[in-house]
Amino acid sequence: MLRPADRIFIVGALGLAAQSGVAHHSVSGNFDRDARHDITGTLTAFHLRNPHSHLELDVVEDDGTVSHWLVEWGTRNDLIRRGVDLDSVRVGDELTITLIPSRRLEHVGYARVLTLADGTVVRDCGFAAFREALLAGTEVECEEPDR
Amino acid sequence: MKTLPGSRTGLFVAGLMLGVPAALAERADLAGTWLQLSAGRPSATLTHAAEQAVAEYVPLRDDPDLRCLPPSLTNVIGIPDPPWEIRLHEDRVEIDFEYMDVRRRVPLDPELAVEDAPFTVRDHPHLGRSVGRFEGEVLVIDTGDVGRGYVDTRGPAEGFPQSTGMRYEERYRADGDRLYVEIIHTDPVYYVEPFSMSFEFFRVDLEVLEFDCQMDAANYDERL
Repeated sequence: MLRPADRIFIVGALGLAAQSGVAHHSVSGNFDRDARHDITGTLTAFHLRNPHSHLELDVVEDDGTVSHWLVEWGTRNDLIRRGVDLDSVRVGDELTITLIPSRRLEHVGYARVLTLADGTVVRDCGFAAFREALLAGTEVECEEPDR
Repeated sequence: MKTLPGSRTGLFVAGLMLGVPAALAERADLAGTWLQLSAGRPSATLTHAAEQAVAEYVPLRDDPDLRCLPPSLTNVIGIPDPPWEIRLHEDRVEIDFEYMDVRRRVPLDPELAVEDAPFTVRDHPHLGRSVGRFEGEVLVIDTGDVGRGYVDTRGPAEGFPQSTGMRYEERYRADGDRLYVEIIHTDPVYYVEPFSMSFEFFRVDLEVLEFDCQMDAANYDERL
């Protein structure tokens, strides 16, 4: 016998689209959107793939120890389609990543902004900005700076 | 095939000139590549079994796409970022989703029962058997014999389950450069009554790319 529960979900228009940035699973569920953290180190690996890309970074801590960070990024297809300058992200280079940290795992985060050693900023403006640009027939512009 | 805004009449005429059956030319507005504009969901009331399933759902353990598996048809259609393409033929409709390389091949046959229809995604048979038909200009696809999964894996409906008894009725209607998709879900194991989810898409000139899901990119927890 079915027993009705009183749980009802209501999500308004644009509810899904508001979760731009990662197609496959919830950023909010895994990462703390309200937190921002900068890490600076040497890029040891860059995996451009689906359903997530990953950056790996060795970061020298204040006490001299080295922490190895795993930083998630968008899908390969999204990053390419949105015109993110991926060629400028090179293994062996030093860079700073502004990220939102994992809710559960140490030294894991989701990339928001990459700042290269020469000051070049590389970022994915996200699905909403990409969609707006398509609708308007304009170039993709990030709606707000993250740093 | 790409179409231009407001080209329906032209497409109809072009269809006649090319010898395409008139009925197919009339339906051609559905053909094209689409990107999500909005997603709205009316209410669904869960059964007790669904309440329990939601309470036990752990995203980083249970989300099927950690194993490179699409969680459900609704999940595939509802993912906002990747484009997808509809191609119409006289006897079938082909729908190519970029996400997880879901390539649906749905027969158009009003005489065919869902139970007798083929599994329409070769690489993902858990997405069920489907058969399509036209009701006027509306493409209707009925689906059954699905695997267990999740209607949604994101947002407030995260972990809402589907049983193997879930039946889908998808309704596709185009209006110029807009496509409206309504999905009606019937699953008495988990939902007290049928509920629908609606999506709006706009026509784009984008390529549906290969997804090629990588397991160690889908689930990296275990190597940490």
